[in-house]
Amino acid sequence: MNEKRILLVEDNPDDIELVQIALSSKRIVNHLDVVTDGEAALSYLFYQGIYQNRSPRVHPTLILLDLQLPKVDGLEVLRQLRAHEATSMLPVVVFTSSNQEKDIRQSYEAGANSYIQKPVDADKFEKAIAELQLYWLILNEPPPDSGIPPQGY
Amino acid sequence: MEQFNFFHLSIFISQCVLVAAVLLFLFRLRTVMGTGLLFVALGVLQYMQVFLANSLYVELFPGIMVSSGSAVLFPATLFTVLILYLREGALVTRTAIYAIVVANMLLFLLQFTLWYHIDHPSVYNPYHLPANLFTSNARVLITGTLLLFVDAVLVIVLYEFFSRLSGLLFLRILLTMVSVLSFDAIMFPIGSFWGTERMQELIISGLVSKSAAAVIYTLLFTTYLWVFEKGEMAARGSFRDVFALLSYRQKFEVMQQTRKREQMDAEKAIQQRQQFIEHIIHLSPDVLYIYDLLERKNVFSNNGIQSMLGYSVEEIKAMGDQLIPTLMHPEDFAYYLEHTLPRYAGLKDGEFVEHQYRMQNKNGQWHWLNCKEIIYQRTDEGEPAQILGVVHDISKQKEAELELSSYKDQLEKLVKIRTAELEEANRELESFSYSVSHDLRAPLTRMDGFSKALQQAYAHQLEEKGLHYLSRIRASSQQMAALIDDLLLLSRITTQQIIRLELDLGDIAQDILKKLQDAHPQRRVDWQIGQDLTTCMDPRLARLMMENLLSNAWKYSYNSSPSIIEVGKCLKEGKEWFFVKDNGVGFDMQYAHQLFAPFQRLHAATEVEGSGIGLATVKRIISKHGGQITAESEPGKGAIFFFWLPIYDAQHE
Repeated sequence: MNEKRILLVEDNPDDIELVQIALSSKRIVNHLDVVTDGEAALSYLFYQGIYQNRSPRVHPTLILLDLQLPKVDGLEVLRQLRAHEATSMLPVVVFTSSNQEKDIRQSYEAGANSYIQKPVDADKFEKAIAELQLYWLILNEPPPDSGIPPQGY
Repeated sequence: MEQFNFFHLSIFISQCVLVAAVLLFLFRLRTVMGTGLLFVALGVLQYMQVFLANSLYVELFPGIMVSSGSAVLFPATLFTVLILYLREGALVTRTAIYAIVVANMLLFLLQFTLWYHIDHPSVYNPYHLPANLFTSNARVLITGTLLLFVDAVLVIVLYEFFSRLSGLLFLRILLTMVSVLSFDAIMFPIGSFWGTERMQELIISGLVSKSAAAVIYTLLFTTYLWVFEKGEMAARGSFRDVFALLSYRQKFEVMQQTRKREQMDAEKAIQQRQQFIEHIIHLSPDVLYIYDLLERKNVFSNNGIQSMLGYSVEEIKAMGDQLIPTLMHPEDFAYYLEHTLPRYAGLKDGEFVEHQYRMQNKNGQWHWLNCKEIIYQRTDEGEPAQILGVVHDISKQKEAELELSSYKDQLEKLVKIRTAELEEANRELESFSYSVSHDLRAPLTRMDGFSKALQQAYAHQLEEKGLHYLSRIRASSQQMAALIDDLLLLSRITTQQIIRLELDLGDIAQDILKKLQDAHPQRRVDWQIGQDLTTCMDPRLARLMMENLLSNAWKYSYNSSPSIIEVGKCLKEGKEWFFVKDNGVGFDMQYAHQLFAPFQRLHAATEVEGSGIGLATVKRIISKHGGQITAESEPGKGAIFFFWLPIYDAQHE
């Protein structure tokens, strides 16, 4: 479990690229996995479909979750994660361009650990990603492994 | 003349003078002390004269037996009665006569009780008074008393009779008294001493002695009247009147008359009352009627019915039991039969039934009527027989009500439609602002992100000008993002529900100014915050408002040193206004109307940065709370923003 992994759930390729750029500038994270819709995110986390034999068989240390996603939206992904024992404690940071009160409230209600609006200012964007890494991957003590092998939902 | 007993005669004459003097003195005293004294004296005299007449006789002359009781005291009493009548009238005399009679009847009863037990061995009788003294005393007392009553009345009646014969007072009195005393002289011995040996002698003696006393007393009393009371005699009426007065007949007649008058008064009162009721019935614009529930027909109606329904009273009566079924609206009639009619049965006296219905007038028009009814008559079993009712035409009122309710319906419908439209608009606005927030911002993030990537990764390949362009692209995208945020805020204020809480704007201002100072450490700004700036506002919006006002003040006072910002409250136009004042660049009042419109800037962007939405946001926050904002300024002399907020009780929000 030395490898720190971030799962980015984001459908816009530009945003994926911006996150990648921001991450690369600090080089803290060992690995970034990207899925581009909600359904894929769930498959990834529950080892299903194309992710059935995902390796290594570990949970990401942090999930960066956009809200507006094709197929299954971000909130639904979050709810399903929290509903399953194996994934219920995974740190999830909602990372989206909306700062609507409704979105913020619903995210926290669904069990988000944090909510960050994507800053328009690229300097702030970079800083945000850097601080997210610092906090969630280094400072924060991750939840203990539940020990239950993730099964189909 | 040898046989005359002058000694006794002189005693008798002096007794006459003494008694007359005492009685006339008491009579005279009546003007000061009333007639009571005289009445008492007369009562006592009567007893005394009876006692003497029963027990002591003096032979004044052979065959003439005289008692000072009947010859001196008794005539004096009658004379007093006569002058009382002459001076005070029949009413007072009547009182005296009855008083004497009643007093003596009482004495008689007391005597009677004595006689009853005087002979008893246990009675101690030191002077050995004979028992028959008391027996005969009682007998004489009752005879004397009854005779006195007759004599007294006779005195007055005879006096009136003789008045018609002679104008001379002396003669009238003398004739009256001689006649009455002669009558008495005969009647008294017969009544008192019937069966005794010397009765005849007593009668003759009485006639002589009483006539003599009459002469002496007439002289004395006439002299008294002539000397002391010469004035007018009391008014006197006819025989009949005098008799009526003396016998209390007049009292009875007065009573009868009073009763008759009372009866007449009562009848008159009833008549007036009846007239009063008739007037009311006649004048009433409402219909007053009596309806017989058993026969189901109208038995009485005032003229109001004609003006209300066009039918005459006779026509209404003629309709009989068809009145209600014919004239009442079928719907109302069904209701009447089912609901109103049964209510009468349970109606107590004093309660009323009120109902409304429509009736058709003679021309076929419908009238809405309000009807109030009470039970007027009941059967012997207590069931309602007749009802008394008042009907008031409420057609106009009903019309107005109907009109009002149709307006109300229309208005409600309109409000519903408008509300729905508004809700729809709000929803649209919300989804619009959502997509603005989300979809419009996202590309800006990318523009700035990639611009920065370009700046960093390819800086060495770009000339200075290229890097400048890149920085302008980044600045613009950031400015647009700020604009979007402000716009979103503005639209959110409109749609958002506000919560009113009590808060102090001074505290908020203090906090904001500190933060502004922290963010701009190079600026020197002095600020003053007034005391007690409490108001009721939504806390978030209050902060946003103060942030906008204070950051404006902060920004626009950039060229004053030191900058002074003041927050406080003042009285203006009878209201309490808060204000935020600065000593900055100010503005020209002719542009004041543009101040609060979105995107209006009174200063070039190069001078002061800002989106131009701040004051529009402030105005919207204040409007949302029902308040008002104005501004005053002069270029170069700073600006002052005044605003007031309605006072709400936080409890009632």
